[in-house]
Amino acid sequence: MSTSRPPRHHPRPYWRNTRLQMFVCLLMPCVALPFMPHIITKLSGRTFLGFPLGYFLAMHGFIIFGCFVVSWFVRRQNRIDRWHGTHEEM
Amino acid sequence: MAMPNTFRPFSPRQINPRLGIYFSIFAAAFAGLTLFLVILEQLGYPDSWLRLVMIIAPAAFAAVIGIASISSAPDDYFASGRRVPAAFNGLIMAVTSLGATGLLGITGTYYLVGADAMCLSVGFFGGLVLAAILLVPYLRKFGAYTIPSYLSRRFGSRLVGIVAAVVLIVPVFLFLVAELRIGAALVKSLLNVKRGSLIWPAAIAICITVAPGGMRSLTWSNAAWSLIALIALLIPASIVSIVLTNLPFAQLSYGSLLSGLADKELASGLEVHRILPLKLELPDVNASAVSNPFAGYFGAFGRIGYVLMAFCIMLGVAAMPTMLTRAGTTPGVYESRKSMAWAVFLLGLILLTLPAVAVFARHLMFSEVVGKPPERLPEWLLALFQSGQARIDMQAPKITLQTVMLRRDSILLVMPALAGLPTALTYVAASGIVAAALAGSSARLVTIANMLSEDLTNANQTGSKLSTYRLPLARAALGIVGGFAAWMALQWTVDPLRLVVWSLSLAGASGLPVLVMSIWWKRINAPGALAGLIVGFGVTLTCIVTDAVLDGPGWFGIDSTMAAVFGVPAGVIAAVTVSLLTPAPDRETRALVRDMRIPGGETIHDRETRLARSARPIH
Repeated sequence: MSTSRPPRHHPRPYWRNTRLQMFVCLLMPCVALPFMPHIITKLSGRTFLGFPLGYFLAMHGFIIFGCFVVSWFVRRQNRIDRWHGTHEEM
Repeated sequence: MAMPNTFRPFSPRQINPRLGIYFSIFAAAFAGLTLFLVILEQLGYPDSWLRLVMIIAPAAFAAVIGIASISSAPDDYFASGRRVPAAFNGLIMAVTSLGATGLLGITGTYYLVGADAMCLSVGFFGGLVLAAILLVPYLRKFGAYTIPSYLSRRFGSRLVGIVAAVVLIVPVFLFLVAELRIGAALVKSLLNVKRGSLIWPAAIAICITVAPGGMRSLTWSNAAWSLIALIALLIPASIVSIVLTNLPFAQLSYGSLLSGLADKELASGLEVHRILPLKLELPDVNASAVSNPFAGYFGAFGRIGYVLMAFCIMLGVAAMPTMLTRAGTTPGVYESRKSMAWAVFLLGLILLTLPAVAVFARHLMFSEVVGKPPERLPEWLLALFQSGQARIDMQAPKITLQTVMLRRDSILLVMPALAGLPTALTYVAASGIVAAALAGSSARLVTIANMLSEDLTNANQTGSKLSTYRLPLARAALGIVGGFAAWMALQWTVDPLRLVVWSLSLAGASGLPVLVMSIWWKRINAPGALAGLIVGFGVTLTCIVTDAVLDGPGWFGIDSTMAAVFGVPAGVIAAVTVSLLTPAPDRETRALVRDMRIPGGETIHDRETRLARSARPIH
């Protein structure tokens, strides 16, 4: 990958990046969950593909969003590893 | 680019390049068997034979794969040689984290209480997301064979390992008992076994499957079982979806049935009740009536109860040692992250299918059963009444959705029959559930046995007297745990779904705070970890036991299925307070944590084993 750099042995900035990445990834699901009942009831009037919109967002939306977050995390974290030279030798 | 035609010596970390072909053949054979049985059924072959073949053959074939994966190296026995590709690992994680109890219990709950059951789905799904980001890559870098072994090395204290093993065995064991009960009950009802139980044969079969190769046998038999479970869930759901909506994607197509369903429910007198926000009672295992319209949000589970239940399950799934030890089987940290992405995707697919099955079942109940005179009820339903799987309220003037009571755990199997599909498809669904039960219970059995033999003895220490008997000891532990679990499953007639939810609460409260802090907070030390484990576990267990004994409304009106609500904060507070009051971890431990956080370099556990071996004097 083009972002690869020679190894630098300072784990601290690496960990700062990783920690930020973790917070960003977990923030949305953890914030979304407590508001889920509110979303489900407020948006139950409208429909999407036949589903009540609130139900669709809470069920399909949460799962699709979760898949997106984890796959984004895998790619991002791999970039972070390579940027800091802390990646595995393949 | 063409591969250079050079000989490459076999490296132990190399993934078998033909795995995809083998499992494609297996999946094709399963699909072929299904079609073959549908044909045989139409030709009039006896039903009992078809049933036996469909349930036993795929499960037995996967068991043979497990037995064939015999291995004698500790690396193979405890970590499957660390060469399981990400997709297979993800598939196994997705299916075993739910197990048969999750598949049947969640579908049944959707059917009985409607969309409120979403909190269970969201919890299971969120748990894998949480584990993927917080725990799995780091545990893979560490590479310990069991979670207590990891904790013991991370905190430099054998006591932490022993306490963690004792505390974590309990939730895994509860889940194991639930899986054995639900699987054996299902096979018993399908094969019309009149007396006795199939729990003992099931436990013995699982032990025989996983004992030859430990984690390696577990991985490949579970990959096959999980594949069956996935296919057997998706095929009937897709066929029914085509029949009802002309679209093959059940996950998205059932929306078009919802408005019609709501009208019918309203006409049959199903109403949304106003309930307390904290109320959450999981439906009973016995045949019970539909209590809430499908889109009657928060008429069965309260709003706060919904959120708390989702959080409890999420934390429990993330801390389940069964899933976390699977992290160690991937070839590297990057692969372990990728395997979590696969797991999240496949679990999402499964979880989106379950409400579709429940909606199809409700819709078909209205069109096939409701309003019919009792003498014109379909034959399969009469058979269910006779076997006690379903009940009908004879006092009621006419048949409605509420008067035909189905068992919660039978909805997934009833759906193909409701849609008028060939009986062979019911057996396909059943074989999937049996496969999920076998996968779920074998994974938990191996986890417990490894925790027992590795962490409660000193067999894993190079040079100790027991170390020569490391694998025989682990295999003996498998037998003991299998026997004890079978005995408990026979004695203890608790609802499996309740057992699973309790088990997740216990795992989340006792394991998660310490596991997360051991990676993300360098300051946590051995006394803090001990306090976190014991307090989290103690508070949750007390909550569950007092609720079960007193049969009351639970602490502060919160049902004991959500006991982690008390356990997790208690565990976090205990771990943080005690850590801050005692001396900080030494330089060596801090270096270990720093090493664990970086993906590059050798797996910590493997490096330490290699160094210990080379340091040992040669006799």
